[in-house]
Amino acid sequence: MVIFKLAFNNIKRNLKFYAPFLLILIVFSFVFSTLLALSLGSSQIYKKSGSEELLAVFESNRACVMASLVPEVYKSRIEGLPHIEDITGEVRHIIVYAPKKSLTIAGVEPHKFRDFKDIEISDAEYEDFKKDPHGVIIGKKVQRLFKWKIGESVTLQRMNFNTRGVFKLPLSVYNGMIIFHKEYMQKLVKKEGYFTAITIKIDSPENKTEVSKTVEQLFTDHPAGISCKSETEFWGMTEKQMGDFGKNMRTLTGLCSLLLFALIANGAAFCLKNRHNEIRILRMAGFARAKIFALFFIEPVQAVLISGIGGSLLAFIIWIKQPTIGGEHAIVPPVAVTPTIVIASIFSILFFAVISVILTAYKNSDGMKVK
Amino acid sequence: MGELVLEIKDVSNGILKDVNLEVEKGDFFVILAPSGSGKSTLLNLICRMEPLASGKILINGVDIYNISDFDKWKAANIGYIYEENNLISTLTAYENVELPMLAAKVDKGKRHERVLVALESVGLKEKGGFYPKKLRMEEKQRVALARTIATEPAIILADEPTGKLKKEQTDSLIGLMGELNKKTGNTFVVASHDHSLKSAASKVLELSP
Repeated sequence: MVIFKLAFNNIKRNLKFYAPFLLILIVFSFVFSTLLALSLGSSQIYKKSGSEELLAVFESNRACVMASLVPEVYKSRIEGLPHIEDITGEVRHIIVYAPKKSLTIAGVEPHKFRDFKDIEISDAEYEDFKKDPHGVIIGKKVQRLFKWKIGESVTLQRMNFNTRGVFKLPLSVYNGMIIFHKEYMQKLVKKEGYFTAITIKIDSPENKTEVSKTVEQLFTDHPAGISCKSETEFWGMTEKQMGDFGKNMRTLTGLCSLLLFALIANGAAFCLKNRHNEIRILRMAGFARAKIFALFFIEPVQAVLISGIGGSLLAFIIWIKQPTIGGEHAIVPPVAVTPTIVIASIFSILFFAVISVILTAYKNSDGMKVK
Repeated sequence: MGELVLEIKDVSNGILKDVNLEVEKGDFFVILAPSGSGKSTLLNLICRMEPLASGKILINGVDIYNISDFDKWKAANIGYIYEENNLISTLTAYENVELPMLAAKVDKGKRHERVLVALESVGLKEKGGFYPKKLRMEEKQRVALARTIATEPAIILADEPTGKLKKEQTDSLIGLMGELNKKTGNTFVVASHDHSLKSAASKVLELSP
């Protein structure tokens, strides 16, 4: 306890000395946390919306997967191919219902949707949804957000619909969705005759490559090209389709983390150099070598932790204010990803940096004469 | 002859050749020598800060070069005062005096009492909350002196304690050290080139360059 108190007092009383180091560290931890969260989280929201057991047929070379337009007639052409068990189509669209707040809406074939997505909904509610062409089923998050009741007629962004049920899905992104009948949704978003993607259920995952190739060859006449990939891959393509955004984020994060670590190591070295007089006094006062090492190790670690937590917290606060898609943040919470990575790295680097500095200072403390 | 606190037997190390010395309990022993004559080396050897080439150094009859946990032993038995930089700048005068007792895990109440007594005996009870930068050079040396006497060590070593002080401050510090020596019976070994220390000394050893 004495060591922690001494280390903390040293930081407090050397604040003038520590302040620039701590401030830079806060900024770097913030940037690092945000970049890391962004690079890790940008595709999560989409990846989470797919399944590896299903294949998605979509239009290639679109800037955003949401913009994919697959003619509805393609469905009948695929249906007859080998290894295909079932097929359905889905239209997706994003609506902005308040500043910085958006929702994903989807139009599905009600008689098929439940076979493709393992949604939790009562049979009665799903039957009501199937019967009502203007009926919708809403995810749990949507219900929490708008407090709509079942059977209520709602108008949202000039769209009129009747809530027929509330569903839950293990893939949390769906819980922030409103699911319409395909025909009604196509009308609402003016995409009559088109799906965003056609989903295929195949007999075995082993036939994935064969089916994909066959489907892609089938539509070589399409001007932009048609791709057939696993559903997860399809919804995870947003990141790829945003150019090198994801890659750049990761490079930037790596660069930033290197800078951060270099800064920490140098900061620690800077804080501890010329402290041999202090070490000499502590040795004379009877502090054991291990205690002196601990004290000089804990001091920069405390400083790093204080500023690191500060920076991550700042990133977290800003994250809360970020726009959401269906109640999901496009980036994962910075504090959720940083502690393990940052603290583990900080400790390993600090360990080597600090030990070497203390060893030098300890050695220099020998001799009573002050040079 | 009184009880021997320090015995130096045939010590040789660099510039020092076959040094023999005996300091009794309660002595105010002054080693007078010009710079470069080995007085700091001698003090370094007494506190085992340098390896001993040959000879023996005993404190209270114990060969200090045979003590296994010397850091701990040293904190309880040897007090130090340097020429300058005796204090940790981020700790108050009170905390600086408290430091060896923290290392020795003396309980809080006893620590507090001993720190106050030590500060009072050097005339700085009112300045316990001051940081070193707020203290004059002589006051810093007094705090260092308070730190050494607070642990009641067997011997107090001082290397040029007045080296950075003005004449007036030197006299004041020497007076205080002499007074403490007489009042508490602390044993002092002071290495200096300052002949005014003779006034407080009970024994003087003059080393030639």
